[in-house]
Amino acid sequence: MALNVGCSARPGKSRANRTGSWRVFRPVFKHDKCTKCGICSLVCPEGCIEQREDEFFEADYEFCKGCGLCSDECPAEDIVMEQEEK
Amino acid sequence: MMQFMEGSLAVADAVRLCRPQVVSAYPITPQTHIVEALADMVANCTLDAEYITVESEFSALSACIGASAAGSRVYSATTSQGLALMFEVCFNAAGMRLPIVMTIVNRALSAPLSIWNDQQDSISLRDAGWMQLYAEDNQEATDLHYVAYRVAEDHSILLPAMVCFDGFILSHTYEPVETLSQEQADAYLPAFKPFQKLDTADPISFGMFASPDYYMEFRYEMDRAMERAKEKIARAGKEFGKQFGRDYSALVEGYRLEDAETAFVAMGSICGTVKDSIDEMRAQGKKVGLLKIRCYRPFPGPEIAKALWSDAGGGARQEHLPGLQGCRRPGGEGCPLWIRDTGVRLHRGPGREGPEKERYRGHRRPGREGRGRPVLWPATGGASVMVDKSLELFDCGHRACGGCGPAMAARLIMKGAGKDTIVVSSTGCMEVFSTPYPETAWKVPWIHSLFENAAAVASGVEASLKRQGRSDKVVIIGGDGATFDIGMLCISGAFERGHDFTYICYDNEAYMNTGVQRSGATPFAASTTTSPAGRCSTGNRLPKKDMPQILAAHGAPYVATASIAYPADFMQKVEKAVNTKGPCYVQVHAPCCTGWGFEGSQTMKIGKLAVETGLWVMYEMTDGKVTRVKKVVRKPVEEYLSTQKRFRHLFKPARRDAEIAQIQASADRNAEKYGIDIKLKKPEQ
Repeated sequence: MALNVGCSARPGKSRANRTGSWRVFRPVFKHDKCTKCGICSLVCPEGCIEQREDEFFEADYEFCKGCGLCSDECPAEDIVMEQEEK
Repeated sequence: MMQFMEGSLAVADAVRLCRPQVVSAYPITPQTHIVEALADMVANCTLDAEYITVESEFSALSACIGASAAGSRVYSATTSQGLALMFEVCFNAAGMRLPIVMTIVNRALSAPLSIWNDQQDSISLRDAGWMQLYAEDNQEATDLHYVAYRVAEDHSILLPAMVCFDGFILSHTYEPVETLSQEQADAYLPAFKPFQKLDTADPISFGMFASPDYYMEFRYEMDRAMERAKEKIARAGKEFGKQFGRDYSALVEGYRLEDAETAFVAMGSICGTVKDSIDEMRAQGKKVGLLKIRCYRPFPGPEIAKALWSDAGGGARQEHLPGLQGCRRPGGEGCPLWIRDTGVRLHRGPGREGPEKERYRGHRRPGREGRGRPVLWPATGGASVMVDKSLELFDCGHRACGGCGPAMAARLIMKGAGKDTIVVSSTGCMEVFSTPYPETAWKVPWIHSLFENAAAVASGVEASLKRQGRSDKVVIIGGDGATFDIGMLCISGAFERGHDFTYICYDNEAYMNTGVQRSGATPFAASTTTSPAGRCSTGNRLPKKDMPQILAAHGAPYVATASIAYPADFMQKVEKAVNTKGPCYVQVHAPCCTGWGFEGSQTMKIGKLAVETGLWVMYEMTDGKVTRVKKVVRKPVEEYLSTQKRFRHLFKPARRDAEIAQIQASADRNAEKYGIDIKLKKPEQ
């Protein structure tokens, strides 16, 4: 195992940890009443909600832990939490 | 040039010639003459270095860690109690593989209080991962500093080094010392080339947390470096001899050992006395000799064995001598330099030869084998350059709980501070969930040293940046435990010295990383694992400490409180703080769903309720005066308290009106003190 001197690391490595597997509830972005305000993206503790080319927002389910903050904070109530199917 | 000099001054002169860029030290007898001399050199421009007058030895070495990691050659000196106070920092510096050189002016440890010579101080740190060289006289003490820097900074070594010489006996004694010229010193010791450094152009996370399997590997790597150091010390010592005529290639040195039947084993200044005694004893026909240990870490086991058995012609009886005061090891065997079986069979550890299986234990022992009044900084009035807040500098994949307030804080801090920022982190939840080796979530240069020293490490980083002419921003991120409690000393010192940094405390009101224990930031009546509610307890008895006021009193030009529930406000305050010169403080309320007991989806709502009830006030202070306050239409505190398990005992099994009223009264006091109430117009009659 090659170690980095002094227990150091370069950026990008945390992405190896796919936290999406923790999820019990999935935020579903309806893109129905969405006003593209971006609050969902701002409050996400993971920073995994990004704006698409059509300006709507979408979570990266590889990392979304399903905490539901985006859904709770969405002023348009356009993000609903649905239980993951196993 | 031969000069008749006091030992301390000779050492200070050698240190000057080694061109340290950052010197960080705290005065302690008998080290004072060295650091006074260096301060005098800086004051008279004969030493071009930042000199940090830290508030403790703990901070002295912590600042060295920051400055070294930022890319500067650093120096410190201490002794005795000071070295003991540095204890955990010593281990940390070695583990981070920072080539710090520190002079230890050996002195006894209290009690009873003694300022006189003894080697217990440095011996106690023999397994910290530092190289340790011991000098017999002032010439050797002086010369070993060059050797120490050269070996420590070698990219195949990268270990800190202590150059030890006896307090008073050497430090305050005048001896003839051959000093080098700057040209000679430069020819021997090349300019410092850091192996890696905190650099916004190439961000690296330093000092991550490691799981046991990685930890063992890192310790093993340190041990191998210590092994390599033996040869490097020998080579550097030989090269020194070649250039200046004084050869230090021997890790141990024999004196009249050839046919000795008895050998004294000693290190430090006593060696000179022993040599005289040996001469006298030899004149009486006694076959005695001396084995002087110059390099104690890495431990020269085979070299000692060779000297005492082969060189002495079949085996000399050993007599072990301590430093002059006869410092026994209580409960141990003899004096500190007691090498039973010459280290070949007993006392095995890293850096000593041991069976291969022992090499894979985690607990390897590498190489065993200012003052003044508060300065009011002119506030620059905040953001001069707008940062790009769309940048994500805190990556996905971190291990925070779902709905984590501090994780939100980390993202928002980086959005407000921008990419040209070096982050210094204290130990805590955020540090651990964001940097399990090698999975760092930080896209900016980031360093973690210890729990309580982030402000001191940042002081060193800032001093190093200043010396290098770099304009990167320095942001410290610490939890409330690291800030309110254990880090208070370093924070107070750093704010008083007026370094240009921003300290951000993410306040989740308890020690969350260790399991929700009470801190100085825990609010009244909150139940924690060390202030639990119970039959005869209503939770935490004490009010929250007012850190913003304390730091404003230090002369901080900008102090602000914020909440992750108001992200735009928080980012703006961070941006303003990092663009204000001098030490700034931002305390952000960061609800912790796990520790406080609420659903992760409610983090924002809880944060807002704290503000709306007046229990958390958001304000800005410029030069000690409150300049802006978030006003609210206040709600009763119950609306906030009833949402969290930590206050559940106030409502169940029976409602505790007295405590609730006391909390309401504190919200009312906040409202009055800061004027947060929005006065609604009375409906017209």
